[in-house]
Formats: sequence, structure tokens, C-alpha cells
Amino acid sequence: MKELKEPEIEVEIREHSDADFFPEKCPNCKERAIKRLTYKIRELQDLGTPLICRRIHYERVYFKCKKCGETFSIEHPLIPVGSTYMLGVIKYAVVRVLKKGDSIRRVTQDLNELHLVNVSQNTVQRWINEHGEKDTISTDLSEEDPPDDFSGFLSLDGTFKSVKVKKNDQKQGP
Amino acid sequence: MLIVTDSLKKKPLAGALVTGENEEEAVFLLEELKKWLPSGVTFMTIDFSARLEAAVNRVFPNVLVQKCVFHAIQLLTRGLIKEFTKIKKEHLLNHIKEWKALRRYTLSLEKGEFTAELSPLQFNDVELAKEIYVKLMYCASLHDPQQIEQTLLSLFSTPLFDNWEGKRVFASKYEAIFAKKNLKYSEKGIKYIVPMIYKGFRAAIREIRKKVEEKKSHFDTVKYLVLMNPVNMKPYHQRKLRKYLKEFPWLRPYRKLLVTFYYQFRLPPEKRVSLSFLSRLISDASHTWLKAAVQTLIENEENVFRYQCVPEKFPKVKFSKSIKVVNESVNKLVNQLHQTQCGMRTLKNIRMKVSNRLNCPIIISPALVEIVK
Repeated sequence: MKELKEPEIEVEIREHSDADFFPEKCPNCKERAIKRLTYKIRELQDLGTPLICRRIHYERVYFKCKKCGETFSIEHPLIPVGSTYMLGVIKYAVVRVLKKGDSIRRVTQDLNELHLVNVSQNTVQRWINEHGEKDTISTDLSEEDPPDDFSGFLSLDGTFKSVKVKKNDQKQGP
Repeated sequence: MLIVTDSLKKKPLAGALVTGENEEEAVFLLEELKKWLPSGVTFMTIDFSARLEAAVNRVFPNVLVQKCVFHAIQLLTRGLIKEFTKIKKEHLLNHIKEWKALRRYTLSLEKGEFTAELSPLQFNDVELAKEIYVKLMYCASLHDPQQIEQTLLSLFSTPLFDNWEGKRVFASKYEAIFAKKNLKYSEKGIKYIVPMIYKGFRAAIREIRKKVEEKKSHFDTVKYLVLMNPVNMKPYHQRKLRKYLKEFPWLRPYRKLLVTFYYQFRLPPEKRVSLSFLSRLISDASHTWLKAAVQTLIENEENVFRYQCVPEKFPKVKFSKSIKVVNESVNKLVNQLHQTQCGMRTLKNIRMKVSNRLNCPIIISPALVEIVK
């Protein structure tokens, strides 16, 4: 029998540059004479497949106004500011944890092993806390929008869940 | 956690993290809901919790209350399961226990160990087997081999032995002693024959015990078939039920009453009968759960069948099954979340996860916030 070869992982690199969105005028003096000053290459991770590792090479370009000498940069429409992950990666993790009810550990594992995105549990946890508005606690419904199509027929039920506090932090919760 | 669902749209509207399912906490959520909802509440489905009902009556005094049909059926079937478990213990498990006790008793007697006399036996067949064993021991204690043989043969012809259920197995084992091993009643042979007679007796009582164990396993199957709603039964369920009801004919009245009970939910209000017929299920010796279940159902009959008045009172509303049952699928989602998220330890975490999963706002009761502080 022929031995099956372990398939090699292919690295797919896409390039994005701020130069593709060359600014028309200086944000300071509105002068049209602008020159490219310098650049910085940043690598971002995107959702891959078990055999395709997707990376983005992003060229962050700094521009200079020829008239007032102001140095500025632009906001790339596809690249999140200051992040090393594409928006799709964050969206994927948030949907799986908050909407599908998967655990953070499981999602992190899947991102690392199936989508070839190097990410830690803490980072995923941070995304979830930001997108799920963790710090919001309300004791009334006044801030929420009431349902538009309420039928007048309600059902009320209770479910009991035992809640444990963290092992080393008894002050954390009920 | 208390969750409110729109019965017709089948989607959760809001929820509250509370200290417990008590009246005060339910009132807190319902008051908030009353302020928040754009229109009034006309119909409310709840389970059989008296605290929830009291809260609903306090906040929405004019609302029509429907007691969940699923919970009504669950209440009765749980009571019946308790009753059947009690019957199983009394008639089957105790029977098996007595057979095992008799076996241990015979073994320890043969080993010459000190054994306490068996406590009064509850089952006649075990008592009969013990009597036969005592007689076998008497025969074996005689000194002359020929006399042993004669006494044994005369024992085998007594009506006592003839009526014994294990007679056939014992007789075949007894014959095998002489046929296979070629042993004879002699000074030397008696040393081998007597232990084998005892062994044969134990083989006979083991066979009887196995039959009881088989009956017990059949009972475990039939008790769930008896409780099934006829609408949900497949032909193989019906075949099995018919077969097992022959084995346990005393279960027929239970089944008959249960089928009548299920049937009431499909009948129009004018043809429906009072649930008081359920009182025929209980006796003084019945399990307390069953008694309580029947009493609760009879008391809440009007609320259980409230859904039948919906087409008449709300002609514009398209009748949906979800009106008559509490939306348990929401609880299922919360349970799944609780399992996969490895415990939800802080209020903020629970609120965030449940709110996003159910896609509805979740508020926290001030009483709970106080406790956490």
C-alpha cells in the first residue's frame, strides 16, 4: 500500500497598501500636492483552512504635504487600526462564543489548528468581553428598545443554575 | 434565572438574574416588563409554581393564566414513575433480595458458620424453598446411606416438593449426579452426593431468581411504555406494550386512565370530562408524589385547559401549540451554555453570555446585586 504523504501547508499572502488609497489632499491645509514620506510593513493574520495559512502584508504609508509639511496617514478600509488580526477572525470568534455558545478554549483551539491563526485564549477572551459589552450591568429595562411586534401572549419560566466562584477568588461572584 | 418568552413569536423577550424563583423576584421582573412592553399582557403561560402564579396575579391581575400542559403531563407521569418504582421495590426487588438471602443462608449453613435465622420471609415461594432445604438437610444428616436415599425419595413424592417451582431443575441436577458421575449411595459416595444435592438446590433457586430478574427488566421497559402518549407511539411500541401487559395485567387500569387523560387534551371543551377520574389512580398506599400530582391536577384543571378558550376569546390570534406550553427550549439553551462555558462565575459574565445567546436583554435583580456586594 502506498503511504499517504502528509500534505504541506500552503501560505497564501495578500498585500494591501495605503498607497492604493492615495489621499487627494492634505487634511491640514487641503493642498493637493502630497508626497509619500515613508512606510512600515505590518503582518496580519486572516482565517485560513487546515491547509492554507492566510497572512496579510500591509504597507502602512505615511504621507507629507508639500506645502505645510504636515505628516499624516490614512485609515485603510479593510485593515483594523492597531490590530494584528483581520476583522473576520474577530467576528468568527465572537459569533461562535456569544451566538453559538461554544467555549472560548474550543474556539481558540479551532482558530489555531483548523484556521492556522496563532492566537491565545486571553486575546479571544478580550475580543469577547469587548463585543459582548461585559461591563454593562442593568437592573431595569429602560435602556433597551421594547419589542415592536409583541403579541400579548407571554410565557414565564425559571431555570436554576448553580454558580461557582473562582477557586482562588471568593469575592468574584455568587 | 427567570426568562419571559413571547408565546406566539416563540422568541425570548427578556430575562432576569435573580436570587431564586420566589414571588418577590418574579414580581420584580414582571413589573419591569409591564413598564417596558409597548402593549398589555393578555395571556400568560406558567408552570405549576405557586410563587410564580402569585407574582403574575399581583402584577397582572386580569391576565388569563395557562398552566403549562407539558408540566401537567410531567407531573402525573413523574408521580406514576414513583408509584411504579415503589411497586417494583415491594414486589420484585424485595423478592430477588429474599432469594439471594436464602442462597447465602444455605451456603453459610453448609460451611458450618454461625448464621442468624432468616428474618420472616415475605414471599411464599421463598418460604417453600426454605422448607424444602430444611428437609433436605434433615435427610443428609442421617447416618445410614440407604436411609438417606429412602428419606430423600419419600420427600420427592410429597405434595410439598411437588408444588415447588424449582422441582424440575432440581430433579434434573439430582439425576445427573448418578448418571454422569456414576455415584452410588454408599459410605464413600455419600461424601460426594450430599454437597451435590445442595448444589442442585441452589441451581434450582437460581433459576427461579433469574425468572424474577427477567420480570423486573420487563417491568422497567413496560413502565415507560405505559406512560407514553398514544399519539407518539410507533407500531413496535404498541406491540411491545400489548405483550408486556399480558405479563403485568394489573398495569391495565393505569394505562386506561392515562390514555383517557392524554385524550382530554385533544377533545373540544364541550366533550372534555373532569379530571376527577384521575383519583381512581390513587389509594391509601400510593406514593405521596402521585397523590400530590393527582390533587394538583384536579385543583388546577381549569388553568390547564385554559388554552381551549383562546380561539373564542381572541378570534384574531392564530392558535399555536406554544400557547399551552412554557418555552423549555430557552432553558435548554441556557443549560447548554452553562455546560460548555465551564461554569459562569460572575454576574457580568452570565449576563453577557446569556443575553447574547438568547438575543434578549437580561437584567439583574437589586437583591442579587446586594448579595454579590
